[in-house]
Amino acid sequence: MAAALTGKEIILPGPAATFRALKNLLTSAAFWRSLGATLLRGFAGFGLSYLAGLVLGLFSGLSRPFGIIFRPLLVTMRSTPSVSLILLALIWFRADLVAVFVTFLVVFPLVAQNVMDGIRSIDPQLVEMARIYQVKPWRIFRGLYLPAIIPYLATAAASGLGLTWKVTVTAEVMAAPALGIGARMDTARVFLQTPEVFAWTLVVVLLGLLFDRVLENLVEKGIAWR
Amino acid sequence: MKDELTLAQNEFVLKGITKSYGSLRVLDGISLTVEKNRIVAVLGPSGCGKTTLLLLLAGSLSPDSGEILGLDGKAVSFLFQEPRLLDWLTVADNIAFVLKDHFPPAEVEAKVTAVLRRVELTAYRDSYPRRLSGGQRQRAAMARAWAYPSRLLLMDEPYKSLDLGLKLELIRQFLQFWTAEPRTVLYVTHDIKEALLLADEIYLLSAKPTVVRSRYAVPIPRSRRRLDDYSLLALEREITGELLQEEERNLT
Repeated sequence: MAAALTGKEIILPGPAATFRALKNLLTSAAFWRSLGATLLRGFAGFGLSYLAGLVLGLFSGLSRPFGIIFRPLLVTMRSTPSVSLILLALIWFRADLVAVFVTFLVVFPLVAQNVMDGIRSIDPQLVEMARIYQVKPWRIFRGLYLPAIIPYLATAAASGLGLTWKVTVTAEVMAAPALGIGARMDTARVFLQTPEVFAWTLVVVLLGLLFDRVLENLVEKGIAWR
Repeated sequence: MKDELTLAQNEFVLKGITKSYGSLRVLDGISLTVEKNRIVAVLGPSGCGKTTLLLLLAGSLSPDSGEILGLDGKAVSFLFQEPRLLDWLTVADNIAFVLKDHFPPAEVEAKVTAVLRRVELTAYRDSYPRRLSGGQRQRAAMARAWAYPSRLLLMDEPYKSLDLGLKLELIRQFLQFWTAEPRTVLYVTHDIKEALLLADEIYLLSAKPTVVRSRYAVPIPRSRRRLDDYSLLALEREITGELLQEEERNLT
C-alpha cells in the first residue's frame, strides 16, 4: 500500500516486486551458493557454541567453585554488544570466519546459561533419594540429571538457532565474504535494489521458521512424559 | 528390656548420637537399639529431629559424635513423606532405576512385575507418575522400597498427607509386604494410633535438644490388636500425655 502511495520501489517495494526479486534469486546458481555458505557458517557457529555451552554449562552447574568463576564471565559475554564483537572479529579473522566467530560468542553464553538453569531446576530431594538407594553416579547422571536438563537444552536450541541466523547474516553484511546472504544483501543495498533486500530478508525469515519447526518436532518426541 | 548397647542379634545400635545444624543442637545423645525384623516406631514433638535421625541412619548425614553400629555401607530402603518418583520414567522404570545396579536385566524385570502385582499397580506399569493419584504414587514408592534389596526400611511419615481410607489401605499393604518378607523397619510418625497398630516397640523422643525420653513395648501380638483394647487405650493415654508435655516444652 505504501509502495502504491509513493510509487517508488526503492523506498518500499510492494509484494509483487519482492516476489519477482525472489523468483529471480531462486533461479540463479549464486543464490544457492550464498544460501549454502550462510547455512554452513550458521551451523558451524551454532554447533560449536552448543557443544561448548553444554560442556561448560555442565561443569559450572555441577561444580560450585567453577560456577562462581564462570557466571560473571557469561554475564559479560551476554551484555557485550554484538557489533563490538563483529568489529573485533573483522580485525582478527578472515571475512569468511567472522560470522562463525560472532555467532559462537553470542549463542554460547545462552546455551551455557540454559544448561546451568536446567541443573539448578533438579529437585534435590530426587538426588537424595537416588543417593540413599545407592544408585551409581553415572546412572544418576543419565537417569536424573540428563532428563531434567533436556527441556532446557531444547529451549537453548530453539532460541540459539533463532539468534544464529540473525547474527550470522548481520556479521556477513559487515564482513562481506565472497559468498553469503548478508554479503548479497549489502550488495543489493549498495545498488539500491530494495526488492532484493526484501527478498533476502524473506529467505532468512523462512530459514528461521523452517528450522524452528524441525526442532519443535524433535523436542516433542524428547519430552513425551509431560 | 535389654539395655546393653551391643550389636549381637540387633539390626543396628545407636550410641550417644549428636547432631547440630550450625549452633542449633538437634540431637543431643540419642541411644537406641533396634532388633532384627522388628517394626519400631519413633514418636516425638514437631521439629525434634526425627527426619534428621532417619537421614543419619540412611547415611546421607553424618553424626557430630556418637556411634552407629551395624549399618556400615548396608543397603537401606527409604519411604519419604513425598513419593519422590522421577516424572519422566514410567512406574516400572522408576522401580527399575534403583534395582539396575544390583540385578541383571531379566531379574529386574521379574522383581518389578512381582512388586507391582503386590501393590495392585500392574495396570499402571507403563504410566508416568503424573497420571497417577496421590495414593497410587505413594504405592509405587512403597513398591520401590520393597523391591530394593535391603534389610532395613526407614519410613518418614509416608502416609501423612493421605486421607484416612488411603492411609489404612497403604498400612494394610505395608503389613502384607512385611509378613511375606520381614525386614527391620524404623518408622517415624506423629500418629500414636498408627504406631500402636503397627509397631513392636515405640520410642518417644523429647523436644530439642533431643534425647530418647521413653521406650515402650506394645504388649499385644500385632494380628490381635484393636484400638479399643483396654491395654492399648491405657498405653495411648500414657504416650499422649508424655508427647503433650514435650510439645509444650517445645513451645517455651
